[in-house]
Amino acid sequence: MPRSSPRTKQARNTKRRVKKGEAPAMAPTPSAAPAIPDPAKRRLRVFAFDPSLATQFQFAAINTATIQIPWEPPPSADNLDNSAGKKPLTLGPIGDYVEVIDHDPGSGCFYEPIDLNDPRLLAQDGLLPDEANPQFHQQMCYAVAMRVINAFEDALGRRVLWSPREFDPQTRRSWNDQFVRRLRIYPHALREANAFYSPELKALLFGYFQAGPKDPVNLPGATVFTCLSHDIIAHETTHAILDGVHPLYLEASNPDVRAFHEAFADIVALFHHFSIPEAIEHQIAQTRGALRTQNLLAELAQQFGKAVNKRGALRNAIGTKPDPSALERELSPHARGSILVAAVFDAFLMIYENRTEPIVRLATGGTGELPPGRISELLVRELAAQAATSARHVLRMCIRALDYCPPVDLTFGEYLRALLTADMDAYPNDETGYRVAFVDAFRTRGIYPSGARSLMVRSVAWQPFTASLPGMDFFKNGLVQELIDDEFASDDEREYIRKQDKPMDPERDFASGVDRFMQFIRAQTYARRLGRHWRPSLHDHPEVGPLLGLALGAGAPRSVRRRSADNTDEGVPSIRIRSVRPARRVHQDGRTVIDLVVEMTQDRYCYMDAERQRKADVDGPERDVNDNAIGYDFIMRGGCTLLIDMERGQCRYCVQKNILSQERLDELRRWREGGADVGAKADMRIAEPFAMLHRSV
Amino acid sequence: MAKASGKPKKKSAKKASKKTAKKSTRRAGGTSRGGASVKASTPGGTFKAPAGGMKIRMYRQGFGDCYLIAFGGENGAQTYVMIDMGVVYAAPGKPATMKSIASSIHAATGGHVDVLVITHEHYDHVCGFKFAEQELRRISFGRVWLAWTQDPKDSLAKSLHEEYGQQLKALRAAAVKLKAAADDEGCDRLRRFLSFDGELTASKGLGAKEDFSPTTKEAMTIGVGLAASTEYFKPGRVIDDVIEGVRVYVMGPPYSKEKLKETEPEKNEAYLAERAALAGFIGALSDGNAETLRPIDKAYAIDEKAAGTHEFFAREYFGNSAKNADERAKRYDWRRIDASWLRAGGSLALQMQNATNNTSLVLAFEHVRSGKVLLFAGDAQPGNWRSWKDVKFNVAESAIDRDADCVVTSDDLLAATVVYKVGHHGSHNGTMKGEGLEKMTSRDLVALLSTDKEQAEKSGWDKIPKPELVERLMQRTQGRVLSADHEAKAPDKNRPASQASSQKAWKAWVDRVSEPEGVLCYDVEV
Ligand SMILES: [Zn+2]
Ligand SMILES: [Zn+2]
Repeated sequence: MPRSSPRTKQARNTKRRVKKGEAPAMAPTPSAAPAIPDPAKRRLRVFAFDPSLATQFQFAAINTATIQIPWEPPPSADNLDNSAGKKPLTLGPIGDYVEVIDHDPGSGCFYEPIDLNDPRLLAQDGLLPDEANPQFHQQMCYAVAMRVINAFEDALGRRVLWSPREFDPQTRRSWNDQFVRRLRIYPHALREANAFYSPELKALLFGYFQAGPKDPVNLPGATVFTCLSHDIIAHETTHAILDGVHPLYLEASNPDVRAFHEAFADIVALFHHFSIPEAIEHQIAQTRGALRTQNLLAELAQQFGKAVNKRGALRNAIGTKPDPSALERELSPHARGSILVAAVFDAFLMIYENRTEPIVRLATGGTGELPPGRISELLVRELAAQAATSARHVLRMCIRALDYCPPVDLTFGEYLRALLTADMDAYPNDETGYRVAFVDAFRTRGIYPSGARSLMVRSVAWQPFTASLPGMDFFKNGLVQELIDDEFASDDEREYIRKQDKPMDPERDFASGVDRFMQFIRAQTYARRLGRHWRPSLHDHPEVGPLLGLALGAGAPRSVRRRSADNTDEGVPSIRIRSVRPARRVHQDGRTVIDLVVEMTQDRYCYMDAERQRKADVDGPERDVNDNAIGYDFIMRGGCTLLIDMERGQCRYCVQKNILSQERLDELRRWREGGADVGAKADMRIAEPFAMLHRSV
Repeated sequence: MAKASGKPKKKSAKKASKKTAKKSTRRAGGTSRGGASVKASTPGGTFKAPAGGMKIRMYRQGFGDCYLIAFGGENGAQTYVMIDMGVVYAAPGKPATMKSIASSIHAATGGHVDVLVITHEHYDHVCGFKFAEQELRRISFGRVWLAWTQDPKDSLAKSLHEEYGQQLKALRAAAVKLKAAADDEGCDRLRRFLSFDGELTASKGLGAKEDFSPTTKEAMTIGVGLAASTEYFKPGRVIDDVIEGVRVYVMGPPYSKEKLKETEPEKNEAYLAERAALAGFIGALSDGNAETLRPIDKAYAIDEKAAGTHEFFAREYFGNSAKNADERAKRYDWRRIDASWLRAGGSLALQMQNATNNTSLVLAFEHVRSGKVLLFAGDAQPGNWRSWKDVKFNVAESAIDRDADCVVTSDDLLAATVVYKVGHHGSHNGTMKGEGLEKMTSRDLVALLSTDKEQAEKSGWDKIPKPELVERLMQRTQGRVLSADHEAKAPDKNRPASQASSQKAWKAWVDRVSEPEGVLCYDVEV
């Protein structure tokens, strides 16, 4: 996949900064010797799966692995400057993306933070895997989290941002989005068999616990650390990343939303197994290349799973016979999510088998029948390489789909549509049949997109948006003058705009060398500009509302919330520009171009009772003395995700969830009345929704 | 095990033989009545079963149990059995309600109750003993029946109690710490969960919300002390010398620690493991024993106090560089996790609740002449239910012994059950389906459901009663379900359209149920 290299960007950016550097005294002393380049990667040792493999003879050989993550440099005069594109890695470890703070409140203590820049550790790829050493725990959490982050940045072609802090948990009032630079990791936060990503704390909390008396792999009474499970770290980190892209997926407005969160986290953890070459080769040899049979690569969190339920891996729909009706029965997030995981894994197997079939034929003189016994080392290596490639591709497809999903109320079917569309944008031709494999695998598990006319890939994917929208010139030429004249613009913004020849240039603004805080601010600036200059033109053309899933203009039903936070749209429904971010794709001429992803949402006051709904649609909701809406039963959200071609000023795709849809409203009512028994009422945010196991309180 | 079970058996047998069923005839007239309760006059009036018949009174205090059964002897003499007396902590006006029930029982029985059954030590089954202690002391109680799990001499029971005490201590400590950490939400949640044990509310450092709230243990002790004689039962016992014309079968609780811990319909192993997984949580909170359950060698640890001045943690965790408290709150405090781990207390509380529910004394009363069985399941959960099939009752001759081999089984009892006191207020794990309800095949089946949706929700149980279970109960009983819910009504004279039973059968049912004046309850003739 052609993609502009992050490193060249980074270099260019650094140069520019150095040129205007205000602290020449701090620059490294010039030397005659050629400069030593920074390493691209940092190598760190981790448990390949979890510590329990060391005690199982057949797996002992692949117990540990060394993984490579992007290099975060040691602190130096050059990178302590806050505007630096590359943040240093300091004690903790604390880097640009994550900070490991090892507080163990249950034991009333803290553990000394590791210094990964210690030359002794640099020279030996970090500490040796060691259950007893908390500093190794810190190292492993950092390494695995960074690797997951890296996989997302690779697939999305932009830097990972955590979900902003937008809610003051104390007062329950919302404030302006606050940037959260680092995800915090607490390796020893809980004394229970659990681990979770806490959206409120923007932190991963890992628990430790005593193994039960009949545990098959753990010594009874021995401590099991969830922070040493590769899968659990990857899973929880993924929750955090997904929350950064789609914060509204915290709201379980249908049974799929939370299940998707779980499934997606599992999928990422699962396909990460295939990036450890030793593990794949070992398992390919053991299964003679038949990944369909039970094997370590297809299991999740086996130590934890065995400790908590004795039946092996934590969740394992993989390998079960597809049962299209299971989707109707399973409503709990974990069980339902595992159906999606199984579907994706089925697709992966099809892809893998398709890729390896000719190789096996070659190796067997055309028969395709492997002789009994061990298969040759060469064949193992070749099959392992194919498995790794297939897994990498599948994971990338799954991640890229995120930009093509609606901002709220996602369903599995919509995810499939998003996945296919995203893949069509990345690989216009599907010679390898990946997309067909996905449609087929999802169909067998009962996952159908509701709006598609047939199961041809073309009709399952989102249909291109061909209508024209008002005010699209805005995207093409960037409204230089309007922005400078903008009375609401801050001095900083005006200054920034004046300096740029093109005020909105995602290629420049979101380049990988740009500091993540700056990226965050720029995305916010983009959103504000769209709000001020483009949103009004939408309200002037209410007829495009149905296309965008929005209620537009002053004549829209009064149940749709008015008055946006900035109070600029008196009388018309408020539209919140939730997110503006760049998405890369391959243009027909082979270039990589950037689309702008724009997410907009609206809120509507809703009632279980149809008559009251009709009344609110006409008169608006009841209001208290402070003019706050009261008496409604729940809030329904709607809106759209737009993929906008900046060059042509044309919307390419619009993925919408109509705020005025009667069908959606009925669906939501049914869900709230019946199925939503997992504490998942539509607009209710439950405490710690992402626990590995459901907590009772 | 054999050793432990021998003692109480002998003892109770001795005591039981001392008193005979005839004693109950003494109070048949129901004359003596304390003069104090003039105001309440005679709430509910007297309560008698016809000669050779049975009558059940279900008090409707809300989410909680209190039943009175009258067994009519051949000559009209009455034997009164009272089962439990409590209501959940969340119920309003508990003291007044309980006092009025006690007065009502006094009036109904003429001041003598032959047998007081206390199924298990939970607030919603015993708090009345404390709230209405004075009123109850005016009633004479013949004997108290308890499960073996309450026997202070039983070693297994003792170890269960010790374990429980430690867990409770841990929970209380967790709640206090949550409060101290200003996590009011977490504390309240834990408290709500723990309301089954009034003790927590009274704990120091929590700020009691009510002036007077008995601890469950205290109320239990009062209840047990109401009669001079106390008997403890293990499954397999048949008591046929206390109630004239009635055999009482002791079905549960099982004499097995493992079985008592089976609290979910399925996936039991997972729950067992979950329990083990909380050992560290309990250890850290119950007796300062964190040292032995330390996950990591002490050599690596920096004490919490020392961490405050440790350069790294002072900066990154405590935010000591912040200019003032405000900035610290905004930039650092919100991410602290000092109290997060304590919220696991909720899981522990639930486990404890379930485990205690499983210690419910489960009794089946067989009316010998008619072969009708009344099944009082307390709050029994799956481990209790599943153990019944292994219990065999040796009985000389019985109408319900379907294969006439002089051994009555739990299946025989279930098949003959005509009144079922629904287990655990109708929760998802209080009534076994295939192993329970589906085996209650009598066409006369009536279900008594001691639940109140509003109070359940206030207590944090949003799925009690379980709608699917209620629906199935309605089907199996042809609509003969009586609920304690304050919104429930006595069966309507006109057969609801949804009911499959005939108009005649429905009318017969309506005629059997009455609502006496002066106290909220249903009287059901059997
Ligand atoms: Zn999860
Ligand atoms: Zn109860």
